[in-house]
Amino acid sequence: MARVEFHNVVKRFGDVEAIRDMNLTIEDGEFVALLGPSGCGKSTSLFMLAGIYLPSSGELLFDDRVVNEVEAKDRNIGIVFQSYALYPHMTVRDNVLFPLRFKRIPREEALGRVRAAADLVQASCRAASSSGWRSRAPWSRSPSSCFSTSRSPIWTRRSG
Amino acid sequence: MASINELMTERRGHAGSAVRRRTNFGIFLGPAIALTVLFFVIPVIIDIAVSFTDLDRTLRVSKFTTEQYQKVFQGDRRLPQVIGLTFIYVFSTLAIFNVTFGLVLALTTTSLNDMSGGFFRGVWLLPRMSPSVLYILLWLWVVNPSDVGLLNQFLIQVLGLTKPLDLMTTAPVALVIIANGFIGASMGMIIFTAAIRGIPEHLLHAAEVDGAGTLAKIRFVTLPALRWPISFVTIYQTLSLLVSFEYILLLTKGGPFYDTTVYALYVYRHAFASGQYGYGAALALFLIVIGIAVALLGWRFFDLGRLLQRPRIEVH
Amino acid sequence: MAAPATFTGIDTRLATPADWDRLAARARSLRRAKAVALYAFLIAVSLPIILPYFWLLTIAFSTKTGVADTLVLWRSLAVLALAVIAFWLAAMLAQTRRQMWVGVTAIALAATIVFARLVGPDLHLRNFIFLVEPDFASIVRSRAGEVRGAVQFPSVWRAFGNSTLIAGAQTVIVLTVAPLAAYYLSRFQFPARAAMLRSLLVLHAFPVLTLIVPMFLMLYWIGLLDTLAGVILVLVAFELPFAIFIMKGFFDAVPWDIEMSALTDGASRRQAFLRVVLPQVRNGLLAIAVFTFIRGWEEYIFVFTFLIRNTNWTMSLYMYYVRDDVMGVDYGVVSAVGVFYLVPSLILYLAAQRYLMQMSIGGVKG
Repeated sequence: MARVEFHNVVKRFGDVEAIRDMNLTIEDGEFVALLGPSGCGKSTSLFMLAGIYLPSSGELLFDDRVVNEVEAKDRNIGIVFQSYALYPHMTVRDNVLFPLRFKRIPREEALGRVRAAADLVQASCRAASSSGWRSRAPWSRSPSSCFSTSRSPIWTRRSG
Repeated sequence: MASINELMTERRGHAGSAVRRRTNFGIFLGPAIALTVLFFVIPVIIDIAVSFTDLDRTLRVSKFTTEQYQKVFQGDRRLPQVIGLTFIYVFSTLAIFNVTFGLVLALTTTSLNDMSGGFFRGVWLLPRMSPSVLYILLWLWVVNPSDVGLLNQFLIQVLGLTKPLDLMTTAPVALVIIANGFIGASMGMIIFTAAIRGIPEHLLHAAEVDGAGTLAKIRFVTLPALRWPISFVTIYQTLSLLVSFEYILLLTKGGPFYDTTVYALYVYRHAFASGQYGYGAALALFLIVIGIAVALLGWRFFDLGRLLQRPRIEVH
Repeated sequence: MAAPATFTGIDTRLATPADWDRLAARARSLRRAKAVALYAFLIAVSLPIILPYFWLLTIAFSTKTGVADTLVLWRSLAVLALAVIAFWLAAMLAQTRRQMWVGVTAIALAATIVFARLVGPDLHLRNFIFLVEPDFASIVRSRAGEVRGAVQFPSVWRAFGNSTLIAGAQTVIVLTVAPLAAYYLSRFQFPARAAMLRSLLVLHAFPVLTLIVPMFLMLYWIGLLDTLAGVILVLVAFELPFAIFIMKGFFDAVPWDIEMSALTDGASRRQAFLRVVLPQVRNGLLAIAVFTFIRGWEEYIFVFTFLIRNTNWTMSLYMYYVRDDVMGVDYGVVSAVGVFYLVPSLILYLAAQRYLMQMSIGGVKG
């Protein structure tokens, strides 16, 4: 785990200022929920935290080190998308297996983790097309990457 | 219980409606059908008919014969070379330029910001947007064998070559492939760019967080989304390359000798340069059949259900 | 049900502060390298296209008879390249919009002045002689001391007029026939409908170039060879399936309620078509109008095969024969004609850009 800080973070898209001067500190191990109306910048902040967006100015700090430019794949962060973000051309199992590819884990062990994660969210590894199953696959994907680090998964709660 | 009046009105209504139905058909579809039959169906029939005659420069038919087809299958010694060249040309242009380079252009220009990406895409659309005569004119300038040609200027002054190159005589096939390739690449680029833009952003975000680098993102997210467009481009561009010869005609006229004469150009030269209309028609028939076959194949790409949707208003 | 497995023995990475710095530095240099590589690659492959077109432009305005020199080309390219780099730097470094515009204007001014000093003296309009003198070929040849050529040129405005006539007539006819047919196919039920729709699908993808030989013979036998009318009809027919296909897509997208309410309001189906549905597909009409016109304007092969007399020449044929006859003698005039022919095409294509996107091939899977 680590301490996360936003220092005067600004995010601009062209002329539009999506995040203006954000300051936030999240202590190691803290459980935080961002609430707010549509379009207020919740996803944008999370994406900057995950490394998907680059802050226009300001600093993002992990444990007091500036990590603005660190790539998403190096940050060891798990994220669950509102739209599930399932890779449509891959099976559920491959979806969950996907992040493990980049960690150079031997296939046997990787499959074992997939099975364990699937049990954890009580989803079998059969092809899943109903939305109930679909909603659990992203959760399986995140724990497999987050369990390999010491970071907790980040997610947003939406009202309703 | 309907009265006599009502019954009569109803019957008159139907009769009127039948007349109206026929007039509507005539007004709306008449011209289109007439033009289509006249310019699609009849030429095909003419082609079949002429291929069984000995029509030549005199433009008079003296006998009906199958000698043209005999010539196709046995008598023409140049034909195998032409067919071979056509395969090489179509395959090379398609594989190197239309699909591969089109893909590369789409991928690279979409990785830049919109303005820069749009600029480069605009540059690559320039050949397509130019009239063919002009585009080839520029090519002729570039490959001019004296040291005035742009290519030779570049080779001599920048790379230090001593003698100017004459691509038209030394590598005409390559020249033809590249000239057509630039046009084909821009076609592929347009279609692939549209497809890439259609990939939901969150998939790429998810891949980034899952640990994918640039190449991995292309391999696991972008390319799978392009499977349909790639087969679409392949099939339609194959047909297009097989049949068109405009750029080749303008650039090398099929020469030197017959070295760059693809099948379609071979048909054209026989019919119009040599006046052998009968033989040309016979050769053309094969292309026509292939054209119909591939066009039928294209059915797979279209949502026939949506196309044939039943109209909801039944009166005329 | 077995108890869920627990994760054990998984590697944990507690990144040290130095690690973060290293990762950030690596990411930064990777990003820069990628950007450089992308731009270098794209510029390199695009140069073979940019250079010849730019050359066309410069030669049209600068060359004297007999020589196709590149001095003007390289000089103006140098100025342009420097200006572009300067613009780019200005856009990157400017903090506010105002600063950027000030910078851009200053650079533009400087570039114009340098250009005028360096390249200006070489520019002239003499190559555009063909616009006023139909027999420019003889003049040009006598200037270069060459013998009279074989080709008799019509006035360029004649060719321009022919091209406009062909493209325009083609557009008008297609705009009349295609929407009618497309509407009927889209909105009416009749016995052969499914068959016709399937054949439409085949026709619009069919390569019409394969029919050029029988087409020639047919026109000859009808007596329409070497006439503009013959060419117009052929081009219309060949353009029709595609236009109908596109228009049908647009008609399919019009909601049924509009038409139904028009009918209950007392309109006949024809009136409903004219007054209610047609206005809805205005974009489609504009789209096929522009594309048909462009096709007609640029057409070469059919025109080349079916037209013979030089009074019937279109711009594409004019351009072709100018190149054939004059190129060895005077690059300048050839490129001037080229520019004259190219500019309307480009303008048309730019106008069509908007509609290119909208013509989402209505009905395509995937």
